[in-house]
Amino acid sequence: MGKEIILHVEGLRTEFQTERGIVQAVNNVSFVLHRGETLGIVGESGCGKSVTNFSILKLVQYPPGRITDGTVLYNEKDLLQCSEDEIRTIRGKHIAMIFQDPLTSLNPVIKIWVQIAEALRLHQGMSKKDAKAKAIELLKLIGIPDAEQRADNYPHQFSGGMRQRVMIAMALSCNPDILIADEPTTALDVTIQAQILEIIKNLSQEHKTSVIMITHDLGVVAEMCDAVCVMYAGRIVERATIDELFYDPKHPYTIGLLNSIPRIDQDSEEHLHSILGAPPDLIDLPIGCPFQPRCTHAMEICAYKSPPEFSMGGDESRTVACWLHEKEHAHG
Amino acid sequence: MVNTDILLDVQNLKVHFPIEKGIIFKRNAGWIRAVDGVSFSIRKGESLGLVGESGCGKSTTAMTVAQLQASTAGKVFFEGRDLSLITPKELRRERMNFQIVFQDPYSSLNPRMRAGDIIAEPLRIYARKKIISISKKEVLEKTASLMDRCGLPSSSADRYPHEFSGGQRQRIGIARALSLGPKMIIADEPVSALDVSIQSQILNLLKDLQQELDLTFLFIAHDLAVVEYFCSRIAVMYLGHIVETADSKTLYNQPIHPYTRALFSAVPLSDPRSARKRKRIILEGDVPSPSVVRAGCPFMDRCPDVMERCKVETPTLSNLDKNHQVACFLYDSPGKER
Repeated sequence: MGKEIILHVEGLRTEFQTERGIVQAVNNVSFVLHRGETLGIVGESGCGKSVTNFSILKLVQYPPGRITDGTVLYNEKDLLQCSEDEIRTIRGKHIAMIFQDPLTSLNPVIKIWVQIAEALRLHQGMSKKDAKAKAIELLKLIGIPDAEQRADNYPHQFSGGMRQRVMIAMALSCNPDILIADEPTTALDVTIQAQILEIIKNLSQEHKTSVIMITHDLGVVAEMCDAVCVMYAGRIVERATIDELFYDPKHPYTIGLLNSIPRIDQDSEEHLHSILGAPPDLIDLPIGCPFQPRCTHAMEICAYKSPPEFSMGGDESRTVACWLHEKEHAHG
Repeated sequence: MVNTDILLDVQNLKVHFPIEKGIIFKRNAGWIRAVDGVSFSIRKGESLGLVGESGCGKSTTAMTVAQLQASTAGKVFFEGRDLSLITPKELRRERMNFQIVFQDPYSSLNPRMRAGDIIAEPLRIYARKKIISISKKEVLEKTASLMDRCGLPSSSADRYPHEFSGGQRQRIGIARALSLGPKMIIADEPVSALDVSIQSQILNLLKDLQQELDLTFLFIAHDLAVVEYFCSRIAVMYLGHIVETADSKTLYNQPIHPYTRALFSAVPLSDPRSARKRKRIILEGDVPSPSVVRAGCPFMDRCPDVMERCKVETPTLSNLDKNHQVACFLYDSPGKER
C-alpha cells in the first residue's frame, strides 16, 4: 500500500456481563488505520462502534465489561497488554479522544484553561504559566472569541458548540498521532456541526493526525472520511473507501442503510426503502449471519453459518461479510 | 389533491416565559421570548414542516398550537374557530380533531399500561365524557384495527411499553394519536429518537396514513432531509421568528434567506462526490439568547450579508411570490434578484 500503518486492531472481542447473560458487544473486529487517514466507523445504536474504540484505549470498565481477545498494535506495542501506567502515557498524548456529550465530559467545577492545561502539564511537563499560555493559544485556534477572558470561565458558561470545541482543544493539545472522535457532533445543531467538522478536518490535515470518526450519520461520513467500516451487531460487515461505499455498496445492510436515509439533494416522492424488523438482541444472536433475519437476500447457508469477511479482488481494504459475495472473493 | 380550505391558521403567536429570580420572593427578571410573532397557515391535506435549530421555538409553537401551552399573544384558529376563546369543554371536543405524536417514544407512554389500553384510552375517556358513543366491544375492535394499521401484531395488545423496541413504541404513539380520528396530526420530532433503518419505517407509515386518511400534518423536526422528504411546505424558524417559508422543492433549490442558505449548506450530504464539490457556508458563532430584547433582525449577528438597516429594524415576512415568503431586507424591494 505504501501508506504507513499507525494502528492495527486485530481480532478484538469485548463482552459485557449482564443479568440476562453475556453481551458480545464487539465480535472479532479488525481494522488498520493509516497515518493521516480519516476512518469512519458507522452503524446504528448498539452495534458496538463505541465499545470498539473504548477497547482500543482500555477504557472499558471491568466489571461488567471485559476485553477477551485481540491485539491493538500501536508503534509495535500491544496496547491491550500494557499496564495501566503505561497506557496512561499513551492516552491523551498519542491517542486522544473526543466524546459525544461535551457537558458530561468536562469537569463542571474546574476552569476551562485548567482542564486544557492538565494534559500539557502531565505529558509535556510544562510550567503552569506556559500551559496557560498554550491553552489560550489553543482556544484561539479553535475559534473561541475573547480567549483570554473565556479561559477563566467554567464549562456551564460555554454553549454546547463551544464546549465541544474545548474538547477538541484538549484532545489536540499534545499533537496526538490518533484522534478518536466518538459521535462528536450528534448533540449539536447542524450549523454548529458544520463548524466542528470543519475544525476537525483542518486540524487533522495540518498536523497529519489520523482520525477515527465514530458516527451513525452517513452524511458526516461522506463529508469527512477516506475509508469506512460498517458495523452491525458487533461485527464489521463491510469495509471500503468512501467512494466504493457510497457508489458501490455490497452488503445488503449497507445498501439498505443507504437507501433508507431521506436524501435532501434528490427528489423522492415515493417510499423510502426500509430495512424490515429491528437490530438483533446481542445476548442471543442468530447462529448464522446476524443480519439474516432482516435480509431480503437471505439464503439457506445464512441461517446456520456466519459469513467470514470476503475480500473483493484480493484487496484487504475492501471486504464484505456476506455469502452473496463469496464467488467474487474466489475469482479475485 | 390539496384544496384551498385552511385548516389551521396561526396569527402573530407569541409565547414568552418568565425568568424568575429569588428564592422566596420570586420576582420577574425578564422574559424568554421563545416564540415571538409567528404566523402561518396550513391547508387541508397539506403537511407543513417547521424546522430550525434547538431553542428556536419550534416545539413551543407546536405545543401552543395544540393548546398544551398558553400563548402570551396571538391567535390560533382551527377550522375558523379561535381556540383561545372557547371553553375547556368545547376545547376537549375540538381536540379530537388535532392529536399529537411526541418525540420520545419512551417517556410519552405510561409504563404501567398495556399497549392496547394506551391506544384505547382516548376512546374510553371520550366515551366516559359522553362526547362520543362507542361500546366496549367497538373499542376493542377499533384498537385492534388501529394496531394492525400501524404495523403492530395484534398479539402485542397485552404487552407493556418496555417490551417494545423504540420503533414499535412510536407506532403505539401514532395509533393512539389516530384513535379519535383526527383531521390534523401535530408531530413533534417523531423520528429523531430512532435509528436510520427504523426512521424510514416510521416515515413511510406516516406518509401512507396521510394519504389514506387525508390527514393534515404540522411536522416539527430539526433534520432537514426528513422534513424535505415528508413535507410539502417548510417554514424555517430562527430565534422565535419564521424567517422563510416556501414549498419544499423551492426552499431546497432556491433558499433565499441567508440563514436558510447556511442551514441547507450545513447539512451533511450522503454523497461524497457532491459533498466535495459544494461550497459550504459556515456560520460564525452561536444562536443568541432569546432573553435579550434587541432591536433589529434576529439573525443580524451571524448574518454574512448584514446591513446597517438590519440592526435597527426587524424585517417582516413578505411575499417573494405566491408560495415563497421571506423576512429579510435583502429582498425587501420586489423584483430584486441575487
